[in-house]
Amino acid sequence: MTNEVKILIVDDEELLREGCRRLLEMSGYTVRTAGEADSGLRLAAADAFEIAFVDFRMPGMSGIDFIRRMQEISPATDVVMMTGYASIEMAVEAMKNGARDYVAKPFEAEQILEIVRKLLQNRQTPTAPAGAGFSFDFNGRPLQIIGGGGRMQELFALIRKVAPTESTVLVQGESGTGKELVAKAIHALSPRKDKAFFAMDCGSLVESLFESELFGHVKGSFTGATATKHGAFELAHGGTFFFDEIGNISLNVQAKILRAIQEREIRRIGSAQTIPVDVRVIAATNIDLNAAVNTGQFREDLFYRLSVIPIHLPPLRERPEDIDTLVDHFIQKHNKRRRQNPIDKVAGPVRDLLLHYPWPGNIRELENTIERAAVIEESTELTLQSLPPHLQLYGEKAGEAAASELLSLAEVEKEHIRKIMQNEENNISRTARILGIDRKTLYDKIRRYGLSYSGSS
Amino acid sequence: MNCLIVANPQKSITRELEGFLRTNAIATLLVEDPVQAIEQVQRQHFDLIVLDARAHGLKIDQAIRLLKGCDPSVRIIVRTDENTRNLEGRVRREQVFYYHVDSLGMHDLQLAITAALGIETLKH
Repeated sequence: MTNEVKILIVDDEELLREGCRRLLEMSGYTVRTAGEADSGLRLAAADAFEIAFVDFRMPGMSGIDFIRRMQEISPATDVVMMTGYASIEMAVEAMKNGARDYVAKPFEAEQILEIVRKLLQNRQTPTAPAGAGFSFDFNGRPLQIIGGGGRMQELFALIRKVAPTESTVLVQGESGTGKELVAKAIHALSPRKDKAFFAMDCGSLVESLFESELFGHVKGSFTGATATKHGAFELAHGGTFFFDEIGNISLNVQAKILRAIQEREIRRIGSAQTIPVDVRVIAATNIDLNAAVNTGQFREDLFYRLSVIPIHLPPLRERPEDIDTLVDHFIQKHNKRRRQNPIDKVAGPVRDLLLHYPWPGNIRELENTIERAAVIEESTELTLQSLPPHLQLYGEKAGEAAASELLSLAEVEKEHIRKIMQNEENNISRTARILGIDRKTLYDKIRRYGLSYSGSS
Repeated sequence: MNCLIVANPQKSITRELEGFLRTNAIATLLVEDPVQAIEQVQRQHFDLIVLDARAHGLKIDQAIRLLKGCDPSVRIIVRTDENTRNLEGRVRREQVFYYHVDSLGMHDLQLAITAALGIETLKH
């Protein structure tokens, strides 16, 4: 699971150049050095470097010019500017021109290693094995949905089919199943791919502000070009608009969204003027919108308007065949912060536990678990001890349950949530974070399982 | 909870905003430009950054990207006293928590701060 990481150092000071080389090589990186800008650029053209440390002032070429040339020659290389004349203005200038970070000379060894760790961590997610996922380019950034099982292959086929159309899409799935990623894939494969993709979380703002964010706002005597808020819908013209958790929208705003989709026009708050908009709508929800229609919480006409093409994302527990691939993928991703002893093996009992745990927070929870383990695990094998306590506890309980009686998945989940809430003294935020689900989903589960709580959030 | 304000400290809305946050016992730090904000965010976690879209030093979309790069969990509210379609479009592409135009009034901004910090009641 290891990858060679190549780093380029370009500096006319030999002492510093060689010091950095030794330091980085000792940490397991492959390092090439150059004493002048031209030879540095030649090296960059001949090889693919993940990171380049570049002196701000070199004979023959300024650091800024070097960055610009690097962006042409090797756009995927993260450039870190080193300067002996540390000033924030210089750093800003470098970052404006594409540098990813800067470090002032003289620097400590740990500073350099920390920058490398941070940049490697931020680099793109490694790709899964061929056939185990669906890759696409989103605004110049490679993204991937992982899944090799039959249900995910059907999903990928559906994405390919619906993307080129203008139909609205309703993505349904539990929290953490990757609904926004699916929306991005549809946008990326559509004729609108070069236009804007705007995403809005429908549950985070009160109604008046949400409406203002969506449709814009003009106010009384202040009206005028510089005092007008255009709103996200108008600015997404020609592109795709993604409503995340659309089930959280009030009936009043639902009516306005329906009008915007049907009439293809909007009206800013405080204005009588209508503005034509051409926007493809993709919505997502983790609740049963059909049930919300039946209870009068969601407009039936909007529901049918949105669900022209419904896409259902299966929860992770229903596609266990993908768990191994996802675990390996996340280990590889988070190994980047463990250069000297990357995890290259997962202990058998850990694989079993990860496979059988119900993952109420789905893929987001699985990734959080692996990320945490990658920080904590001291050996190169992922062991039970590096898993979060609630998962270890689940393993013990599952073993006991198997020995005494057979529980349904729902019973196991209920017991698991109850236990974590108890451990966290009924703190909803902490419990939700541990489970990898949002607070609203946790409240839904508490209600569904009839759990009692009287704590804080 | 703590909040970082990035704005010209001489402007009255900045002083009003700072006063409002302090009244509500929200630890507040005021800096004058996005570059200073980046330095602060590298040192400590902020729950919210209220960023003046026209603060000097960096382009607003670049500033948002850098701030989110330093701390992906931070919520960002961008406010401006003079809006343009281009400015708003560039900010919205970076998926900020809320975009505020000052002429819409301080109350909307306070509501957005309330929502961003997840608190129920604020003192005025």
